[in-house]
Amino acid sequence: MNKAFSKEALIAEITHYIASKVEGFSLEQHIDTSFSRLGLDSAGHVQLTTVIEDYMQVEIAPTLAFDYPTVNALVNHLTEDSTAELEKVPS
Amino acid sequence: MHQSYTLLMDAISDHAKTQLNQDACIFQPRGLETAEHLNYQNLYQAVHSRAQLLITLGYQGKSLALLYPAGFDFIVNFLACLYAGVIAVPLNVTRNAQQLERTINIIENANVKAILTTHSTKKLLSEQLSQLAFLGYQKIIWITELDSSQKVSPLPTIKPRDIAFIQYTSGSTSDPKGVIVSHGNIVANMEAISNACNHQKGVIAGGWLPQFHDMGLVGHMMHPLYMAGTYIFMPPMNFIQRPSRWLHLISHYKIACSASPNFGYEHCINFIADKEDLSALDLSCWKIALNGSEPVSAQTMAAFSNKFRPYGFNSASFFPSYGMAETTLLVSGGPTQSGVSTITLDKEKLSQGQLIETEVGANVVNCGAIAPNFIVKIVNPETRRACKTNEVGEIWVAGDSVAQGYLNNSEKTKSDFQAQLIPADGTQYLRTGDLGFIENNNLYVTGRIKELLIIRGRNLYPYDIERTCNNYQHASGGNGASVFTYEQDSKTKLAAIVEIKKRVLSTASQQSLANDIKALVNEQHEIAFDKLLIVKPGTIPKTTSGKVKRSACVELI
Repeated sequence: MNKAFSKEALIAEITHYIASKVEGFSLEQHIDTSFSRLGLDSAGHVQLTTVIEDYMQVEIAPTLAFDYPTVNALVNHLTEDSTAELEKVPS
Repeated sequence: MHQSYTLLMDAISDHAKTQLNQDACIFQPRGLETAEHLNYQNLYQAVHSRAQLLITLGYQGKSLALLYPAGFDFIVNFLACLYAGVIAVPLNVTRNAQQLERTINIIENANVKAILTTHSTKKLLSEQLSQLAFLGYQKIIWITELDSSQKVSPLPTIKPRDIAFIQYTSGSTSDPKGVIVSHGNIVANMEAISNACNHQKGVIAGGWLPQFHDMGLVGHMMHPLYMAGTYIFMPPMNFIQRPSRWLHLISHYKIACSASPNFGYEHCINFIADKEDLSALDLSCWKIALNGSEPVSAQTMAAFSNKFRPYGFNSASFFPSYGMAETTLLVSGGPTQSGVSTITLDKEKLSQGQLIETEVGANVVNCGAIAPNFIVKIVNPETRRACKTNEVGEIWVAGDSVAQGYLNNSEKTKSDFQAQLIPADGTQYLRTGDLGFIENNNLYVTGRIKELLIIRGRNLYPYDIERTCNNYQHASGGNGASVFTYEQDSKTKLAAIVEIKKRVLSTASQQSLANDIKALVNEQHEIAFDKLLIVKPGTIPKTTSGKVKRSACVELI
């Protein structure tokens, strides 16, 4: 797991990738818009998981962006699990 | 050299006796630490046991659907069907309810009695099913790894003419086409592939292709098992996610033969970044880089060679080939280490269906030598007379690899699989629906009849013109162009829809963009559009696999 991992940085990585594939993407406007609706094709969905995997240094299923198809849903899913991870660490 | 067998399972049973400890299959989803191995003895035992279950449950002679994620379960259950005389219907595990609709149609069309799957896939599919208003939902019988039987039933004697599996090929959602492949067909094509690829016993083959379909099923999975070799594979999505995994797989296991459609090679070019660490890669083992399933682009092949030559890839390994589910798989390819060769033809003459070689013109990729034991003819699709040697015509095929027909469609089986030449030569042919020609026993494919645009006395291949449009600097790329004909005032006219990058659309004038494209197309194809629509990305209607729906485009203009 990427120790420097933070929710903000993760969102920034995802935003950066989507913005490079979809013109006119704005996080504010599109945080709950499905990737398909934004114009991201199948391969684009899978590549998004590569970007996340590279950043988080954790195995990410190639189909994750189909199961959690908006920035919000995706980020919540990814950070939910790591919050649970953090809770396991003794204070 | 290798031994020939009457049935695929005869081969595997034999290998389980003579080389029980050899790896039959290796499944590696990601890095080396994820690799799983299955030797011939264990494979055979699992298949035998599963076959017993299927017979005990009464499925001999009946059809079963196989819905599996990539892995050993699919291999075992597919071979178990073959061993038990069950007709296998391998299908894709769908991602959502909409895609599942097509699967349901197929299950009904093929009169499937039950679904072979894993317990976890069953849960996934049940969820999707509950979202569809499918009346038969409650009646589906599922057979998973949790089902087993101690009962021992005698295995049936399989004859080469018996049906082994049904291969569903791209028909529309409402009209799926199931190709009937017999046990004899399988072995005939195993032999054809061996010959064309000059494979020896023990060949190591595999890659990222889906197991349930065509090249992945017949070429990657069945062929090395027939040859007492090793089948090495990974899930397709894992390739899409990180294409270098495919190359690392080939390098590590010294895979000699790995196939991919053109877009797979394209994907490696576009998505393996220069910064990625490829130092461990040695692709010199890769003797057959087979390219098939969709039109081969010499451009893609050249770019791939350039990028991976430093890692031992030899462009002579490229192996363009031709085949389809209707011929079990391979019809032509090779000889090995011939690389990509093209023939250059006069464009004007080609558009009139004639072949004149020139210095500069249209380049058509050589799809290789026609495999032994095939009869291939080039035939005028209207008159059904054999074409002259310098004419383009429909590719007709006969041989033991040609499948038995389409399931539950005697009309299409008769028209497509039992075609006769005029005058008849005593042979029944498969009409492929593809256009091409033969030169020195090498097959060249120019396009599909159905897609052919016949306009103002010329035959145009939409794929070629679309490629030109997609190569335009402001085009959004990918599959963002559609070229098609429409009728107006009783005349056939030519139209195109081209997707342009959003940012460019807002700054440049539609007119100047259109003019650019028209100029490019005129230059390269000497044809003018009657209508050209410039649109934003995502406008062109496409199928779930990303192919342009040209018929739906007519409505847009």
